[in-house]
Amino acid sequence: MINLNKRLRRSTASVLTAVLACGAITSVTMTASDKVTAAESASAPAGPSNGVVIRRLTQKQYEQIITDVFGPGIKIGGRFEPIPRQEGLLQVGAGRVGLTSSGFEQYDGMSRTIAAQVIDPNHRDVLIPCKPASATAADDACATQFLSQAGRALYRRPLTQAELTLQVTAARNVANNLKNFYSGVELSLASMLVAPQFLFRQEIVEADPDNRGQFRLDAYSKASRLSFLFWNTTPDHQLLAAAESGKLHTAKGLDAEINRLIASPRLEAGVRAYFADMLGFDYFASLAKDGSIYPKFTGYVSDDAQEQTLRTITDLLINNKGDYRDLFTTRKTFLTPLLGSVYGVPVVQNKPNGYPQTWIPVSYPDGDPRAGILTHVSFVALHSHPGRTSPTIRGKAMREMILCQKVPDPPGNVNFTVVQDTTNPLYKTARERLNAHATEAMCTGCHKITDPLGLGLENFDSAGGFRTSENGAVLDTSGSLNAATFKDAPGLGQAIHDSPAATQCLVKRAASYALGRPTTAAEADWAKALETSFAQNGYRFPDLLKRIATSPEFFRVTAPEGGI
Amino acid sequence: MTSRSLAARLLVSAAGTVFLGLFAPAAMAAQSKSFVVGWFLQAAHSYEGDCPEGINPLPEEMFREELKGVGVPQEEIEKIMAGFMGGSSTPETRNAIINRGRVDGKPVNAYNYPTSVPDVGFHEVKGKFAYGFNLDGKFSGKDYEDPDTGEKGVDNGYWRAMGCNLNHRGSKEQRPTEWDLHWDNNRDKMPAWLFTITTEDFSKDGPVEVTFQKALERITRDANGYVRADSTFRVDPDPRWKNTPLKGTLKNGMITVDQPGEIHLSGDPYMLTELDMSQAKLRLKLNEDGTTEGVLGGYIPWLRVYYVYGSSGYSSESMIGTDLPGAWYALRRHADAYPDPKTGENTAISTSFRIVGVPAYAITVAAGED
Repeated sequence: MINLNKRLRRSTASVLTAVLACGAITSVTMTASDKVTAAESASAPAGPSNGVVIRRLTQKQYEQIITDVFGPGIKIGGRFEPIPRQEGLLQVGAGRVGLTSSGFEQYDGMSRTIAAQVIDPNHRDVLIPCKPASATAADDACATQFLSQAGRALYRRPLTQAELTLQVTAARNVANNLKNFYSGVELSLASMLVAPQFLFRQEIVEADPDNRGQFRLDAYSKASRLSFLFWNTTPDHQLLAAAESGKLHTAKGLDAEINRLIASPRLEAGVRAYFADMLGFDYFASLAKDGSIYPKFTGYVSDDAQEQTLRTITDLLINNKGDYRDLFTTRKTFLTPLLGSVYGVPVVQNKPNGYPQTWIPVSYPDGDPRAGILTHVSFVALHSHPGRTSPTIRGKAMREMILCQKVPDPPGNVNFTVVQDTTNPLYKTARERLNAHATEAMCTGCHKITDPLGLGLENFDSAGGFRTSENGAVLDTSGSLNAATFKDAPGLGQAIHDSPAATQCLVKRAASYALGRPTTAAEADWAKALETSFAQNGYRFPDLLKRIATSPEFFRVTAPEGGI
Repeated sequence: MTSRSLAARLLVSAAGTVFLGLFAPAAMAAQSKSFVVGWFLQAAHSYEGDCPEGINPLPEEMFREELKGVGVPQEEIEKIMAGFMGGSSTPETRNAIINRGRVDGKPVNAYNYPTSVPDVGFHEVKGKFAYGFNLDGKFSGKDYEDPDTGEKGVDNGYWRAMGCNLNHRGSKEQRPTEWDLHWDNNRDKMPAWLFTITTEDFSKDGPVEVTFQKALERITRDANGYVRADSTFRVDPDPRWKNTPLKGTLKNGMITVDQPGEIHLSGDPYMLTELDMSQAKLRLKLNEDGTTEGVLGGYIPWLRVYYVYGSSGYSSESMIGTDLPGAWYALRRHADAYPDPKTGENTAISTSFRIVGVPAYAITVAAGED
């Protein structure tokens, strides 16, 4: 078993070597008669020159796929190598990232853990669709049935004959050596779970039979793009069947599947994944607050804060088919008793002690200082220092995450002393400290971009608690966004609501998210059309996703550099 | 959002003051602030010379005295105590100490039958000062003077009985070990205790009402392990815990309840199973950070106080360090109110407790919603 396992590992490793060597393979080579994936071609050039992006699965996607394929009872464990955020999105970073040796070790450990659970006596009868003729010997027929089914779900396409033969042969050899059928399929399953075909969303380009000289994504690659965009997971059986039958290559078939994906409750997972990415919720993993200053802020608050915002978003955008812009002004949200203590709002949970915290819908009254997701803990706490607020960081986050406007990094020789000293009696509020700091010419330019926005949220401390003063001085929360002025956080939310940049940014980010890369200059007309359509449809986010998915640009590929 | 919580929300000002409407105690159209009890400790005030007979010896020494008193031979006592290692004592020693009482010459549990061992005679606190209130309106020679207010005639039999034990020593700044452990170990599993202060305008002097309430929820903790501020609690609608508001005054940020009342709250078997306080008086300081702290005094059935210790049995003796039969005798000896009509023996003891209130939301629910 050990030798065989090593052989399989070498096989996997050789493919991974190609991936690692390229760092980020985003193109393919192929022949007219054969389909070749990017990962199988070590010579493939990098870059989005032909529209194909190879993305590594995110942690959430990996976890959801395992749940979808093997059920929620399978524990994963392990740590996932982080994906760097690029161009404002993890999904763009996922298309430019490779895998380190230590990252692969983690995947390897997880694969063995998962495979061992799948074949254990508690799960095998449910998860393995056949029984071997003998549990102490190889059974090619049963191994083939299980591995082809699992492989189809994991690789998001049917295994090639070569892939299947490799896995069945490995399972047979191990089963015979160890006199255990299940050990054989365990090893083969673990091997598939570390295969690049699983860990990376490979895309396959083929000649377009309807347009001579043109190329297209194959149907399974289309199915994956759709499923990850709408559901953030592997295609389900029906979508793969649509791919297999060729329906996804027809406008009618494609439309039917998109409508099904949008109508499904699983759309919520897709929308959550998009906004968690756009709002940088991955930064919560390293968020810390000074407990002596903000004792209410704990890890549970951190978790609830993200959930609050995602619930607010999905409730408005999906359940109520609402206007995206209203996310910045809505007074409706959901709170747990724990979050209620942070916000200083009574939240009654009519449950016994020890019952898990439940989410209570809350509507703030008119005139309440909290309105919109920018006043949520998930924004004001995430974009603050551990012990004090930062209008600059908050303003930068709004500019970059919500308005897609790049704020330059500060020069290397800035003196931050005045801003950081919250005990200076001369500068009691952040506004006063920033005004003093901004007298330095090199700082003024950027702070004019960030601070007028961030100061609008000064009523919210670094942990998200409400306050009206700092060091005894009453806070001035007025500010401006371009020509729009406001006096407080609800006014700031309204200014962003009314800013065309906010909706343009969402369209741009959503398109980049769908494609796994930034849109190019050549796609400017498409982006413009998406913006127009988004506005015409009342800024309904699911409609935007649908418009993206039904656009030719979503699946468009060209011949790889160097031709065929 | 439920209509109830929406209504509650609408009553909350930005400053966290709840403007009454839904859960106002009737007549006073006023403001109220609710608190959850964060600390509830015997109000200790220890100082050099307050125990002229000395600090009571540790239980190990008292065990020897009690074992000797019930007739255990010295050789056997040495054998028993050789296995004494606090909470890690040998099973034989643990068993011998727990059952050191004798009835008809047979070993019995000394915690359940405290009179089955002789009284080791806890030393009394004989100093001039102790926290509390003049509960009986009299000025006897044994009464104390409150160190903060200067009030004379302070009745505090509980402090007199237990204040010379090392684990009861403490001050306003230093929590006494015994009560620190009891409260801190049990507040997570007992219903939270609340109190709501109602007045016309907190920025002005005037009459106040303080209503103690039992919550349906327990406390939760913050990042530092203290009671989480601004949490929401439902007030238990059970009529057994519905307390009449205590009446007093607010002056210069200090609340003084000078018209005695009663407080009934259910607690925890390992703390106070129930707080049944009669002729309760209270003073509270409203702190700038939103918390409040002060002293609550009144009479409590002394047997309930004994079970603060007795319920923990051997753990209380061996690890926290209170000799339980000794405590039983001392509490009975210093009980000073509510004599039994038949025996004439006092059933209650005067007490004072330091309480700290943490801002909270107290939401009234109707019976059936709990």
